[in-house]
Amino acid sequence: MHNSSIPEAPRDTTRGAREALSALMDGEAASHQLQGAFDAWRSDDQARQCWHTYHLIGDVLRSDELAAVPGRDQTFLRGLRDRLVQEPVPFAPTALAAPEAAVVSRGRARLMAPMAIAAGVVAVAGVMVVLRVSTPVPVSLPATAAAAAGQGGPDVVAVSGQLIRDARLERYFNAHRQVSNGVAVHVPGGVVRSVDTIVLEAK
Amino acid sequence: MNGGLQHLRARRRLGRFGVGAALLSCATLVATLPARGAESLEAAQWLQRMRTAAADRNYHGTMMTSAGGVVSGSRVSHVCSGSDRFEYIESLDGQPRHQFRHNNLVLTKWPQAKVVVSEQQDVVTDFPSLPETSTRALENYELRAIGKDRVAGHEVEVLMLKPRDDLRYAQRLWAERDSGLLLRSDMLGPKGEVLESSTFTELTFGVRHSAEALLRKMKQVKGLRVVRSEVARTTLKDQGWLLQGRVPGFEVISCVRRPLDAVAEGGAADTALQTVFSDGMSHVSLFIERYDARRHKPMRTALGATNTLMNRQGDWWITIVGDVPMATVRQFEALLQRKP
Repeated sequence: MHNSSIPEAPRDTTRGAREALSALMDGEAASHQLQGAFDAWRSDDQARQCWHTYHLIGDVLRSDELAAVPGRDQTFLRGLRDRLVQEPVPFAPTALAAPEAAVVSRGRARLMAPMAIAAGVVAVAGVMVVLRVSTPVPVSLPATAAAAAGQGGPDVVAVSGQLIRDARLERYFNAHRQVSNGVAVHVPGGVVRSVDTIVLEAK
Repeated sequence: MNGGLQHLRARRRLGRFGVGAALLSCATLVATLPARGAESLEAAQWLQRMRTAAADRNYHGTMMTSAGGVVSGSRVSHVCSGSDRFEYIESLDGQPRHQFRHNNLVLTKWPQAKVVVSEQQDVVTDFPSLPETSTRALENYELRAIGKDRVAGHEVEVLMLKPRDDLRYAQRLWAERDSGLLLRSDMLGPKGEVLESSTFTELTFGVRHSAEALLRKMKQVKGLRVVRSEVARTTLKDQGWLLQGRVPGFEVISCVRRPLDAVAEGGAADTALQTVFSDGMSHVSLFIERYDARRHKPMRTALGATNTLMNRQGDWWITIVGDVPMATVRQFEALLQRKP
């Protein structure tokens, strides 16, 4: 299915140059081949095409899903550059992406659809990372670590990443939520937020 | 011929109109450019709407909260009947908990512990809404509209509250467009990362529970031990404490002596002094108790956007819980002094 979209390696590029590129890609190029391969890549369009095709072949061999129409990368990069130019100071990049994408004119929106999807993937990946990171390491670690280094902070009971159940802590949480009931935008009467698991900060 | 003339005139008129419109838009542009006031007035109106939207509406829905990798859900019902307000919140994860509210009276039932805690609250805001103190929010946060979105099937306006310094977190709010009801909120860290997020996954306006049915359910306490949580108002000064200086933007909104664990047997004896500070959107609770070496171990924790610090100060045990960065929590700790 994907085969039709994979172009043949252009034949005009000299066999030697192609071999050098192939070797370079595999990390097996000898030092005398390197300069020639670089020169070919820089000056010869077909060599670049070749380089791209080899990568594509490699990708497809690894997984069918990696097969893609040639030029996708360039479109992606161009789209990314366009977007970067328009982007305001990214205070919260994940949030700004959606509303702004919606404003873009229709033709543009179609053009940028893959881009938006890609951005979505990035955003989701970002969230995943935050979640996974924040589980073992408290998000505010840098600030607190710095503070701890500055002055003799309180000792910490458990090691990083250990999840504990602490009923005593929960009492404070509940009391905090109750008085700030309705206060916390997020939490109705302190009920929603679960404090069954608490992450203790590493020393 | 005549038609052509008319056409020409029409075009000229249109042309003039175009120039006029351009001038007008220039004028408005000039007027709006320096006028941050106009924009923040609208922003303030959104805040006002979010504060009051829940009060006069009947709705029920399901809400999810995720903080620090922990996700939990609740079912929320809100009923208005005349001047009475009823609220019923049922936790869907972890220990079962049913919270009923009839105006100022809050009953929390813990079926597993077979306990019901009753409490009178001074200040009650209908859920979900912004705190009463959010009238001050714009002193510490910059508010701007960042677009439109959809949450739980409703059209919403997305607003960003960006802190004016690094003592607090940014918040992103999703308000239902017609009512202003808050449907989603995120707490964001300094790099824009989401620390905590709460959102309705489903919300329906209109009545599901009648007021009578809720009241009946609320009054069913058979087999449950009823515990009254007594809260006594006081001040830090009266209790022999003072803050040397203030943490910018934060003001005391309440100071009470209260039992910490009303559910526990004989928990009422175990009281703590709780002082709550607010900057309009975020809150910090400062707890002071007698130090007890057997129970009290110094620690710091971070869960979602909530940072907690526990430390000893002489004969006293200090616990600070806040929806603020740890650096801010530490400022509170550093300023707290026992009066000589």
